[in-house]
Amino acid sequence: MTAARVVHAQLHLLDRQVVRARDGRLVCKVDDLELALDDDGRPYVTAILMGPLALGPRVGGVLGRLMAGAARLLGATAPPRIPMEHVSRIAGAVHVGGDLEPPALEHWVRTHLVEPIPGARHENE
Amino acid sequence: MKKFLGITLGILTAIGGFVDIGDLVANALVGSRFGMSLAWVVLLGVLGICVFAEMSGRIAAVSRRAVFDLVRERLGPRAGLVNLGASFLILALTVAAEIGGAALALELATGVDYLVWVPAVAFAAWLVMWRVKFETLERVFGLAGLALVIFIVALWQLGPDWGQLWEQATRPAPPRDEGLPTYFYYAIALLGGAMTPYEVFFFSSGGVEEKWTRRDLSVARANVLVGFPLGGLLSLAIAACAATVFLPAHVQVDSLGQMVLPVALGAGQVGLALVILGVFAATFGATLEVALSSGYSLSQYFGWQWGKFVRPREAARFHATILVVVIVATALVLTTIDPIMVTEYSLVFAAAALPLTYLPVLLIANDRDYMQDKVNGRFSNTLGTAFMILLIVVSIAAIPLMLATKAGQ
Amino acid sequence: MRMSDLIARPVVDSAGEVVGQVADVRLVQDGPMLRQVQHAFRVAGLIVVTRHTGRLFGYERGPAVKGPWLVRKVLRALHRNTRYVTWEQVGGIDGQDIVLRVTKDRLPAVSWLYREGGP
Repeated sequence: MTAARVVHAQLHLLDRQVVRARDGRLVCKVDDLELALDDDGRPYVTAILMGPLALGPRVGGVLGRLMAGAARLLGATAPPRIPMEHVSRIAGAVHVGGDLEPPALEHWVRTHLVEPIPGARHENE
Repeated sequence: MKKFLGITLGILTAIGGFVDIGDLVANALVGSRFGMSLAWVVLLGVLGICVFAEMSGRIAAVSRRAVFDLVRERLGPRAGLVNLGASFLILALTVAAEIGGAALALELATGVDYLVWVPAVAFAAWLVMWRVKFETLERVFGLAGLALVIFIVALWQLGPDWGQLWEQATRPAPPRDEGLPTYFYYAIALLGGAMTPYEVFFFSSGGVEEKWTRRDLSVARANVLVGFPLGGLLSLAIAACAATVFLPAHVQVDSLGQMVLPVALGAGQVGLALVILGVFAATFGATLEVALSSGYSLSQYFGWQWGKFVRPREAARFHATILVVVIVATALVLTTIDPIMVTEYSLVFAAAALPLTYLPVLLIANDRDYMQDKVNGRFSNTLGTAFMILLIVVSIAAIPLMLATKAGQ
Repeated sequence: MRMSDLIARPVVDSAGEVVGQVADVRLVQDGPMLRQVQHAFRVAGLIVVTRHTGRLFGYERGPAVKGPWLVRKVLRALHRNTRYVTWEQVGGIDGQDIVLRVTKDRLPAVSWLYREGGP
């Protein structure tokens, strides 16, 4: 076994693109990381957090509150999370496995705005 | 032929940067007031955009990450959001201007008022972005924009005093009746036009759309080395035409109709038809480039699925962004705001935000996480650093100069 | 708790003196097992900057960081007072501040991470 891998939260993880390992689809950004405490009281990373409820507090100020407020208005209570055990690779993007629900906004825009337009389900010609 | 079609992304990108509606008129205006004495700025701009577009193309090919991914990652959510806000505002204004420009070209061709054409142009542009494959889009509008080469032909036919043009170009100072601040104001506007950030947004996202990999690095480089110098050449030809026809007569160009006049004088009816086609293709192509860039930058900041390489329903937020931007821009042009004036202002504001886009590109091009063995060499780094310093100076000087010269009047 | 609760938080030493603020968090993959698949990334220490600028642009990679010579020089000059705090030296979080168990002068410069005899 080689030495344990070292990464820096800000430099290597936060704000990187999250990509679905299976097909390269873009999932989200690493908007924040969730921490828990181990038996010795040391924090470790348990999940990637995404969406406005994770990003808003990091942006801060009026805009940050607006972002989080808008998400709450749409019924969100906590940011969606991707457990760290699904992370398969950390490089220029963070690659994750598993199946993920499409985010609420994407779902809403898809069903209410984009799908009613003819051609939404077709490949481009 | 196939090889040639591979570089249409670079050509379309450069057309949107160097000869879109704002630059078409700005180049002619500069030619009519300053002769060729600002040609060095165009050359400098070509070099600068080549350096950074090459880096962003290389990053896209090796890591599949486009420029606004890098902006968010290196600047963080706050400064990234500042850049996003500024860029997005400029992009929306520019979409409005380009739609207006394409409609003005149709007015020149048909005599029907441009406002009638605006909704049709906007709808056609949206339809292309919704339905047409990226490669087709870039080929059709990249190649059609080449009709602007008629400016080079027209310059030849006009038979200018080449010695005098050369003398203006080699003496980088304002003519006697223009002040130094105005001269530098237009220098910044030209440099800002040559290096507008949406060129690298579009170029790098286009590389991802075309699914570039390491094997396409030479294609990426060819796109850069053909596209941008060609754009620069066209913009110099426009300025030279204006310098030949308008400078001696002390006429100041400020409309599209005046700007195409030298071609009619030099290359006749056929030339005029071609130049109007070229102006339409360039502004319509720029509409696509800029509207797609607004979708790219917003999606890449938030990490949404983007691109025309998936079905529209898979990238719903990306397509919704484009739709909203096109609608808002159309509404803006229909208020009869002058589209040419809009881009002239937004160019200068864009110049103030340049370092926020190019610094992350320079940093990531050196990052082995992204680039593995394809990091910058000493040549790219030296030029990149020199341009960073220049861009910082430009970004500080841009807005004070605009206020001091009342936007170059 | 979230990572953003640690980043940008002010740090004071055991004597109550201000050290700076957290610029980045060093993670080592030797934490508890996650569903028997892989080790978790555990917080090993904090990189603390004295300036308000916050972003390090990759400076924490130490001498291995590549880049244009001038940019490297500028970053190095900006961050010459950057310190490294191991998690063991952290006493706890008191209101806004992270309070250390040691005094400021006991903290190594961040470059220590990349020297022989470092962690």
